[in-house]
Amino acid sequence: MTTVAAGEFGLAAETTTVPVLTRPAPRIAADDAVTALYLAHYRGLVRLAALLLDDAGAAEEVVQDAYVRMHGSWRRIRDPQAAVGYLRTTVVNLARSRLRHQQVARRHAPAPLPDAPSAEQGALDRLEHRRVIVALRALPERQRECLVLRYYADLSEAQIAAAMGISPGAVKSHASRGMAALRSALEARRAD
Amino acid sequence: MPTELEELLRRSLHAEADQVEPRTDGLRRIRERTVRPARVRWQWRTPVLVLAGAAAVLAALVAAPSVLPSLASPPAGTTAAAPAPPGPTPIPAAGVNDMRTVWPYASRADGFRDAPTDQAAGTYGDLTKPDLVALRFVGSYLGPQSLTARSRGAHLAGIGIEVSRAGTPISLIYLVRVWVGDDAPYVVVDAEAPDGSLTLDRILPPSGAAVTARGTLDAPARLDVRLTAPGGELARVDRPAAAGTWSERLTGTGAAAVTAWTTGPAGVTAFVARPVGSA
Repeated sequence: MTTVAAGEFGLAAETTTVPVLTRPAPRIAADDAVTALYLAHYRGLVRLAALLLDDAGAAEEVVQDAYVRMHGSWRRIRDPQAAVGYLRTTVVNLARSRLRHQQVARRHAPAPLPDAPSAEQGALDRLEHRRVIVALRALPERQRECLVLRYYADLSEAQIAAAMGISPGAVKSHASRGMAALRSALEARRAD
Repeated sequence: MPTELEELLRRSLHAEADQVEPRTDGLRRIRERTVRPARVRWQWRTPVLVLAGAAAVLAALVAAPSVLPSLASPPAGTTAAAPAPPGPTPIPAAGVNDMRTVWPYASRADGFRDAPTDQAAGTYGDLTKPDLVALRFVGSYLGPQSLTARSRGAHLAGIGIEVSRAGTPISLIYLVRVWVGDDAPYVVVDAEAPDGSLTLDRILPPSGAAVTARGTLDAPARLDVRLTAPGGELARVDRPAAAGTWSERLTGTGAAAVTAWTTGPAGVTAFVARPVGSA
């Protein structure tokens, strides 16, 4: 009897790196590459973009734009592993650009908190998570990106640097300042 | 060591992200945008390239008329360049290129043609789940085993599924969809041993009805080699094999794939497969 290990398929497709091949990789058509990378990474990238944009619809558009650009640049990229980095960088850049063009004032007018929760732990957790997300969205752009890429996407400093187009030292600096600002914001809210 | 705030931030980000579920038509929307611009580009590029080509020919004729005879026939003692190998063949209406495959069809085009009927009849179970396809493929050779499947993410133009027996990986199965779309069935392209303990070289097109399979083994083991067609098994060899290279000549008409696996004292240790005549 054959069985599937519970929970092993699904998210793993988004988080596992491409296995090392023991033979030369054949050339892959751009259409096939888009399909493969869509299946493996689309959902994770939409969620990443949603954290950067706070708008699920806009997040999907940004990620679709990234795939279209990757398709157009496939002759230069070719390697699926490099393509994931390309997609991530493009998503970060497009999300940043969209935020700037829309001149979103969200950081100055944080979303209202949900109604007072019940005493249940789950509701308290949700309230706490919401406070963190609201405080995160009030951070400067680069600090927010650093923290999302580090604590949601679990990227290394080098990978974050590549995705944001900055140096690893700058990543460290933005992340450190971001965490300090987040801590102050949360403490200030608790004191209110 | 992560601080309390770092852990809180991590949990909050994942809780927030988990609420986002993309719509299911993302791939179709991307496809619409990757197909149209290409056609538009060529509409204006084509006349430009034609004019550029004509100008280049004229320039060559003016500058070097002595070239003309050499174009008419190659000089003695030389041979004409071999024609370029054929490129990938698209499957009309599928949006993907054809390729030789191992299971359950001999090619991606066969899968595009037959999978809808087989899906409706349940002939091979649910072909839209790559982990189940990989397990059913390996299980169809090894019989009742406790096998588990784990995604290894994007793999070339498809997806990689690692199949394990008793917790030990025995095969990395490479699968592709037979058309573009979230509902498209998967087919197995090939399979490799994750640890490289057993290899199977590319299988050349058969010479008559004979197919030669060869590869390497890194330790002595019992070796099973099967030659199959879509309708079933054509030939098999089951023998002890020494470490080093191995080779088997198998005979059968309409051969589509070769599979091989090794068995040690505790059971199957590695499983590989390749289509016959693969590129």
